[in-house]
Amino acid sequence: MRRAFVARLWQSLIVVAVVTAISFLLIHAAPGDPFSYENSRISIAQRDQLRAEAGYDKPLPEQFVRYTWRLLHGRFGYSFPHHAYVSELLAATIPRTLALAGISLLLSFLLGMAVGVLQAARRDGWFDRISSSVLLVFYSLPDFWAALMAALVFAQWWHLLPASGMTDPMHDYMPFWRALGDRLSHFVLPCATLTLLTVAGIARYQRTAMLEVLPLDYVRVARAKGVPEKSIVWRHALRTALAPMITLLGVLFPALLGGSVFVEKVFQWPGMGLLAVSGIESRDYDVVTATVIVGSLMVIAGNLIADLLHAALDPRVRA
Amino acid sequence: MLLAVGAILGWLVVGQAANRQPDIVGLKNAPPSFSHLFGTDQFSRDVLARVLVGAAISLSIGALSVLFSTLVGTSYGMIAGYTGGRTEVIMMRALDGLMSIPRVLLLVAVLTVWRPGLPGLIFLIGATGWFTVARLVRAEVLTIRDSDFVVAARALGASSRATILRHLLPNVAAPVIVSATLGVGNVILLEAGLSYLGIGAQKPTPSWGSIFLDGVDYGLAAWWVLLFPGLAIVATVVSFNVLGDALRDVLDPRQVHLARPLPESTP
Repeated sequence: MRRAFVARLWQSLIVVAVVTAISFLLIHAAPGDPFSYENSRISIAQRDQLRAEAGYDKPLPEQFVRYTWRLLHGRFGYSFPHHAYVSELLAATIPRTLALAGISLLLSFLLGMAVGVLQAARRDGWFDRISSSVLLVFYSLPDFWAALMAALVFAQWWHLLPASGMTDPMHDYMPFWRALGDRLSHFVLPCATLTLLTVAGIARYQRTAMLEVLPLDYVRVARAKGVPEKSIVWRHALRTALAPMITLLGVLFPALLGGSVFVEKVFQWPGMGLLAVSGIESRDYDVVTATVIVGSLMVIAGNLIADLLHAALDPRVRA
Repeated sequence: MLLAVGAILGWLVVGQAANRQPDIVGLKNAPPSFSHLFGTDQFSRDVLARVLVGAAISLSIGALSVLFSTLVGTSYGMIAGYTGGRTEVIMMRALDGLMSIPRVLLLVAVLTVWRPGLPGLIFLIGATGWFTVARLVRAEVLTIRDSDFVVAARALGASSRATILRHLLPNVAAPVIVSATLGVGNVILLEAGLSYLGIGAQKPTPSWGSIFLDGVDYGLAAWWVLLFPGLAIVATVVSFNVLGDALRDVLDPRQVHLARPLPESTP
């Protein structure tokens, strides 16, 4: 098992390297560079000088080598629009996105699994049918639209929750509990939106998994033995149905990172997604490259953890 | 329910026949009224007309991207599954690697620096979406690779790959069709989001997402510009999802009886 894990680690490293190469090449091979815009405030000579300093006039392979070298030293480059080093920007934004995505994922899983199990337990019952339809609608909502509608309803019409940002402008001056409450209230809407969108997929998957476990022999035996139904459903059946859910984690994580881009944009949540989007307007090459690479890193790490969990849960998987 | 789906889809498809170009009238930001059912936006364009044209655009983007990704993914998956051995392992590992790049982030990055038109957009969305199909197809191929009729066909001298593919392909088709249907829904969502960010369809092309982008500035005041394209998207995607589910029930009943669920073709 340890050998398999080490092999996976090596493969992951190779994947990281390839992903870095692909990301870099895709982005830097585009026509133009960060300095392509016409800007009346600096002369062409100055612009060319900036370009040379930043290294964008060198041939592509050389740029790539330099980039990789810097990357290995942990330097992701410089963001001109933000006037900051990309590593600093990443260090600030990643935890925020992880908090948002992580908690949404957790909530989605808890809710989704619960709903899925309940649906499967009374298949085609009223709960199953109604919740399936409702979930289907949630599943089909566009990320940004759901976020916008939520912001409209809860922030503008009902004035319940704040519509954007992570903190109030007065946050630093508030007493502790008020500040905490403020952070929480800013967190609720984006998190809820993200959760809502993911719950549907999880519930559907869980329902299918449970439906396949429930007719199995050992469940019927347990029922015949007189084990209470609740225990059967929630302990015995669920444990077997958990394994495919772990694989779902691996698929969901990249989707969640993507979805958070839209939610962060709407709610102006200062996380990695918003950083990526901010690069759009300003052609911020370094930021955009770094986002892709870091995003992939997170996904790969997530997959590794998911594999570990899977092996821990299901002895059959251990090589 | 399937009939309702068909009806919705039919309506949406017919809607594009009314391909009226958005035109500028003297009305600005008018709320929904009888002459303009969905109201007008800040450039005095009739929102209903834009939503209808947007239907054509979004649907075609969805259909074409999915077509592309299905073709690529199916070929890749079949080659991988059938060849087996080391090639297959390498191919699948490569696939795993490619799948670890978050699709949205990659699209954001690439679309930021290259600004392709609609065809480029379709290509890119398709190019980032074929992975799940490939995995699906390969799993299917694995299950039928050693079944009798395939072995028989090879024994009878049908060693040319083309003939084998003709045997494999029809059996692989079912989950692929389901995946494609669900995929269209996903692509529509994706494209709308990208347009909202400004990197999908460019102005004045009224894809549903870009209608949104135009309307965002006016938020609460002109809520109809935001609401209707959104509803259109939801309705369309729901129909595709329902259609996909119905197809799955019809084409792949054996899924229910397996002891372990097959990997699903989710986003």
